[in-house]
Amino acid sequence: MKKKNTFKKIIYSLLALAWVATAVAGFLVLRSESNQGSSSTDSKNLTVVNFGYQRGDEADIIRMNGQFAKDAKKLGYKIKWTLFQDGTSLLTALTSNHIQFGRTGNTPPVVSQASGTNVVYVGATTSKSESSMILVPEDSEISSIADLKGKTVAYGFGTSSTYFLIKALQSADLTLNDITETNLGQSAAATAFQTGKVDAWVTWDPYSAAAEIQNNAKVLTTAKGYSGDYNFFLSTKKWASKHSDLIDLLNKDGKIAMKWANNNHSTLIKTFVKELGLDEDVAELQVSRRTYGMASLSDSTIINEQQDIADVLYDNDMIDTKINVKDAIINE
Amino acid sequence: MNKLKKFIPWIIPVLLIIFWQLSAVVGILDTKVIPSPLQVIQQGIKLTKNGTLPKNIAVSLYRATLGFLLGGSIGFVLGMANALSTLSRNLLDSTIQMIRNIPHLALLPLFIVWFGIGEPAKVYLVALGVMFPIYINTYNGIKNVSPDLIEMGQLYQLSRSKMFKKIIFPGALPSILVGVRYALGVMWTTLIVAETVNAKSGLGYMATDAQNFANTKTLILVVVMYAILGKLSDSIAKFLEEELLSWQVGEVKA
Amino acid sequence: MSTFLEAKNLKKAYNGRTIIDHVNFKVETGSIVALVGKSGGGKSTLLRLISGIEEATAGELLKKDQKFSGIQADTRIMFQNGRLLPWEKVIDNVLLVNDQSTSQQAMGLLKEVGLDHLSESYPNALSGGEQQRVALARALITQPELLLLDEPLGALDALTRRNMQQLIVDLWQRFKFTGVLVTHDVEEAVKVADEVYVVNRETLSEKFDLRHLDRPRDSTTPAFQKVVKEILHDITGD
Repeated sequence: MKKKNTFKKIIYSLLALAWVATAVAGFLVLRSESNQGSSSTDSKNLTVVNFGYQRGDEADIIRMNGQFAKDAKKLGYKIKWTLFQDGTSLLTALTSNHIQFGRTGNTPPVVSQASGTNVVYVGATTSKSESSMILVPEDSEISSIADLKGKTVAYGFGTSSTYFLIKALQSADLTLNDITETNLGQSAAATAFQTGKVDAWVTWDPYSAAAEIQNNAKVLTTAKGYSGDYNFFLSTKKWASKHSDLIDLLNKDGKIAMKWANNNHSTLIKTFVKELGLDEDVAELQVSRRTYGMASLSDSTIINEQQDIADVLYDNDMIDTKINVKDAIINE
Repeated sequence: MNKLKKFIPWIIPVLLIIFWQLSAVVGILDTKVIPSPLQVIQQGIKLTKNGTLPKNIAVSLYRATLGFLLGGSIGFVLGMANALSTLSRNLLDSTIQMIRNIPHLALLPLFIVWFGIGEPAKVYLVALGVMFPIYINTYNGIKNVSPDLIEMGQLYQLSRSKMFKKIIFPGALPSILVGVRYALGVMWTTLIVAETVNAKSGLGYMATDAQNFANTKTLILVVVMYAILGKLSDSIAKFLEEELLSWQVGEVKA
Repeated sequence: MSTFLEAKNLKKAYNGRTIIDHVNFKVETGSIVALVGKSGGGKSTLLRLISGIEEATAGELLKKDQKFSGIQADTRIMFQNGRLLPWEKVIDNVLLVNDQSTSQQAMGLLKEVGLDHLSESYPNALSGGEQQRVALARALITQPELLLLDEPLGALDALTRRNMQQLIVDLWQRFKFTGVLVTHDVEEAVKVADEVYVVNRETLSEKFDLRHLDRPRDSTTPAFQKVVKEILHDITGD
C-alpha cells in the first residue's frame, strides 16, 4: 500500500510541477506577444493609437497596405492593430476608450449612438451591396422575396443584415412579422444553412461566397437596391476632435490602400486564404465581385441611408431612441 | 479483481469513443460536420508539431492559474474574515451574496469596458468566478468547526494563532477543499468564455477561431483539451484532498 | 488540610431561569469530590463555572483563598467525549496544550495510561475508552493542580468504565491533583471520591463524607452499598 502511495505521490507531484511550468511558459508567451512591434521604434515620443479591425475588412486592408501606419508615425502616432470578432464588441471597446479607431458595418454605430455613447463617424467606404445577399438552399422553392413569407430566415440581429432584410421584405409588402426570424452568428448560421435547418440566410462575403461554392447556395437577391451597405470608420467624439490630423490621414491613405487592393487581387486572395482560412476559390469569388473604395461622409446618400437605418430600427422597436445621425458625424 | 476495478470508470468513455470512430468509418457520421476521433487526434498531432496547441494551452493555463490564485486568495481571506469576525460579516456578507447572484459570465462585457481588451479582464473574470465557491466553503468550513473542539481549545488556553492553526483551519479544511474542487471547474468554464472575446491566444481563442473558419476538427480538439485539463485539475485536487485529509481514513462515513 | 477550592453562594441563571443558587462548598487540597444528581440538575453547570468558561451570575469562587474568575492555567478539564483533534496523532494531541513539554514527557504520560503503543495512531483508530485515556494524558501533561471531569465515562461500556475508574484513582494517587468529578453513576462516585455532593433542586442538598471507606474501594462491601443507597435516596427521595 505504501509503495503505491509513493508512486501516486510522485506522479501527482510531477503533474503539479508540469502545470506550474506550463503556466509560466504561458506567461512568457503573452509577454513576448505584447512586446512584438514595440522593439524597433522609438516608442517614447509616439502616441499609441489602437485601431480595431475585423478579418478581411477595409481596416485590415489598410493595415496590410502599410502606408497609413508609416505616415502616421511621421505625425507622431504609432498604430496598434487589434482584431475583433464582431462589430458589437469592437464598439464596446471603442466607447470605453480601449481603442481609438475601428471599422464596423452600418448598423453597430447607429445602435451605439442610440444608446447614448460618444461614437462618431470619421470615414466611410463605398458600397458593398453586391457582397451582401440573401441565400437559399440549392433545391429551394423560394424564387422571390415574396416567397419568404412564413419561412425561417437566419441572420445576425444588430448587423447590417437587419436593415437589408427589412428593406427587402418591404419591397414585397412584407414585414419581419411575416417570417420566422432566427438570430444566428455567422458560423452557427453557416451550419444551420448547410444542414437545411433554415430556409434562407442573410449574410455577406466571405460567408456567402463560401456557401455558394461549397453548398451551391442560390442567391435570392443581393443588397443592391435595398441597402447601400456602407462600412464606416469610427472614433469617439473627444478623441476625434483632438486628432483631426490623423483622421485626415486615414481618409487620404485609405484611398491609397483601397486602390492597392483593387490592383493587387492575387495578393489579396493569397492573404485572405491565409488569414481567413478560406478556400482559394471562395477568396477569389469574394475579391472578384468587390471594388474597394473610400467614400465621403458628406455624401448625402450615405447620411440619408444611415438616418433611414436609425428610423427603421426605431420603428421596429430595436432601438428605443430616435436619433439624428448627423449629430455623430465629424464635420471637417 | 481489485486491479480491474480501477478501469471501470473508463469503460463508458472508451466505448463512446469506439462507437464514435466506428460510425465515422461506416459512414453514418458526416465527418464534415463532426470529425472522427482519429481525425481529431491527427489534428492534435499536427497542431502540436507546429506549436499552436502547446502555446495556447500554456497561455490558457497561465490565465486560469492566475485567476484561480487571485480569486481563491480573496475568497479565502474574506471567508475567514467573515466567519471569525461578526463586524466583518455584517459589513461584507450581504454585498458578497448580492454579487454572487449575478451570473458572472454575463459580466464579461462589463469587465471589458472597465478593464479593457487585454489580459486583466480575462483574469479578473476567472477570479470572480472562483472567488465565490472558495468564499462560501471557507466561511461554512470555519463556522462548522466543532464547537466542542473550539471550547476545548479555549479551556486549554490555546493562543489565537494556535487555535487557528491547530483547530480552526484543519477543521475547516475538508470544506475548503470541496470549494477548491468546485472552483477549479468554474475556473475552466469561465476561462472558456473569457477567451472568446478579444483574445489572440488561448484555447478559447482557438475555439472561436476554429468556429469562424468552420474548422470542426480543431473545435472538437479544443473541447477534448478542456475535458482533459478539467479532469487533470480535478484529479490533482482530489489527490491533494486525500493527502491532507488522510486522517479521515478509518472514520465511519455514510 | 487546606482548602483548595471554595464556592460562596454561587448562582447561575440563564435568561432569568435559575440553574443553581446558594451553592456553597469547600474542596480540600488533594481530595476528589464528586457531584451527583439528576440529569439537568446543574452539576455540569457548576463544573463549567469552576472551569472558568462561564461566569457566575452571583457569588464567588476562590482558589487558595484568592478570588478568581475566567479560565485558569492550573485547571484542566476532561469531557464526556474526548474532544481530541482527529487530524493530529495521539502524541501530538497530548502535546497540543503545552509547548514546554517534550515528546518524552508525552510518551511517559501515554505509558501511564497504557497507550504508548498507539502514540503514532490517529484518534479515529482508537476505541472510546482509549480516546478518553488520551484525553486524560492531555489533561495531565501540564500537571494541573485542579482536574475537572465532566461525566468522562458516560459513553463507555461497563467494563471499560470500571477500568477507567481505577485508572483515574491511580493517576490521582500518583499526581496528587485536586479533583472534581461530575457523574450520574452513584457507584462510580463512591468508588472514586472522598466526598460526594448531591446537586438537587438548584443547590447542593447534601454532602456525604466517604473517607471512612478504605481504598481501594470495594463495591461489594455493605458499607459501600449503604452509602450508595443513602445517596440515591437523597437524589430521588424528596
